[in-house]
This record gives sequence, C-alpha cells and structure tokens, in this order.
Amino acid sequence: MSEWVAGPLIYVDWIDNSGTIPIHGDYTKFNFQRKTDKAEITAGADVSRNYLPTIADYPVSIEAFFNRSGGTPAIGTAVLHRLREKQYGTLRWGLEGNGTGSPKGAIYCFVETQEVDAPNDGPVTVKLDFQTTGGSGSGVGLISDPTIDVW
Amino acid sequence: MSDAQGIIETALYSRLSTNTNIMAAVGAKIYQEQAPDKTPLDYIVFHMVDGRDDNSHPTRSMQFDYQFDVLSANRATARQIAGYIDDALHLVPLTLSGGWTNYYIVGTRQISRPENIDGSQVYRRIREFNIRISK
Repeated sequence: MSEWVAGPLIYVDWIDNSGTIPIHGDYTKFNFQRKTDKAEITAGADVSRNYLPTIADYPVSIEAFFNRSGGTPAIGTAVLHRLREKQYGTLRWGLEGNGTGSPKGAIYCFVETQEVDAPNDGPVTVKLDFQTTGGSGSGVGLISDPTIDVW
Repeated sequence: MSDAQGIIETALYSRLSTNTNIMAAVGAKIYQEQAPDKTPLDYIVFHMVDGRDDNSHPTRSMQFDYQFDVLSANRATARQIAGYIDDALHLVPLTLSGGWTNYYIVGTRQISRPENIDGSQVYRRIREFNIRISK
C-alpha cells in the first residue's frame, strides 16, 4: 500500500534571538537539498573521469504567499523583517508535521536571499533561500538529519 | 467548507443593489441564475460560470468567474448599465463574511449579443469578472 505524503502536512519554523516562529501557513513550495562538492582525481590509467566527494552542503528554500494580516504561521512584514538577508538562525521542518515521533530536519543557517514578487494580476509571493553554515561540532550545519532523526 | 459561493453572491447582490446608478437603471430587477418569466426590461442576471479551489498551499483560496447579463430594449442603455456594473466591481474588492477576503476582482470577457425574445429585439451585454478569495 502506498502512503504518499502531501504538502499540507508540512511544518516549518525559524528560531532566532527573538524566539520561534512557524512560517509554513501559506507556503506553496518547500525545498531541501543535500549535496556535495567533488574533486576530480582522474589519473592516467582511468578510462572515465574519477571523482571524490568533498564538502557537503544543505541549502533550503521556501516559497509562500505574502499575508497582509501577518499572524503566525503566515509570512507578513514582521516575519520578513526577521528573515531578511544575513540573519542567522535555526530552521526546522517536518514533512509529516510537527507531531512527536515525526521525522524532523534542522539546519543552522543564514538567510541568503529574500525575494518578494508582486505581479499585477495575482497575489504577492515571497521566496526565502537559507544557506546552511557551520563547521565541525554540534549545533551547526545539518543539526538534524530528516532521514534518520525523529523527535 | 463554508458556502463560499453563497457568500460571494450575497456580496455581489449587495454591491449592485446599493449602487445608485444601477438602481436608477433597473430598480430591484437584479436576479441570480435566472429572471422570472416575462420580467420587463431592463434587468440584470448574474451567475457563476466557473469556480475552483487553488489547493496550492495549506490555507484556503478559491477563484470564481461570474457572468453578468444586462438585458435592455435599447442598445445604448444596455451598454451603459454594463458600464455601471464594471464601475461597481472592477478592482473594488467585495466585503465578505465567514473569514474570507476578496483580494482580487477584475473584469475579464465582454460580449454583446442582440437577441429576439417573444418577438421583441433585446440587447444583451455580458460582462465576466474573475473573483479570487482567501482565508
């Protein structure tokens, strides 16, 4: 039996020095990538290119409608102010919701891009790109791995 | 789901029936879906021609297309009343109940159609409006 997961279940929140705010209320798309850089190590006898994975990266983006009323979990001006470029925080998400026991992801990151799109013939939308950052140690980078961490 | 269509139609009727120019032109002869048989000209009939749920995000938003038919024995009068409807609705959001917000309302198609009803020439002017709501 297939048990697909559909968008409306998703939970996303942002934690910074001002507290925790859920931001998934009017979202239209959430994207999480896990990827790695690579180094080519092709040598003379190789018959095809040869690579090694090097440094991992975990960018996240969310797209949503701009909500004039601004109450959580919607994205209004107050939330956009907290989510402006260069702001650091922890982004947490659960594709199956925020219930205990659900798979959860979390990254330590900064806001790389805040894009507001205002077409004449439709609602205003917002796109936020989060850049995971950190080095070694706990509490930075990929804090919670959504493929194994459940809380 | 609350009756979003009914909420919109109540707001549309209220908007038209409180418009001074429209009331002067047709009085109370504004009907939903269908006018009574043998209704004397001039009058307005409106109905939904398309409605859909966006389903693009967790909260709710919908779009509707409403058609307004103006029927008059006089071509210029039909055109004028259609213009009054445009003035009353185009980019003038409706006040909705049930927690809904009308964030977008614009005129779209316009059609002119001369007809014969019961042997009399009738000028029908059709205006369509796209109405988008969220809550």
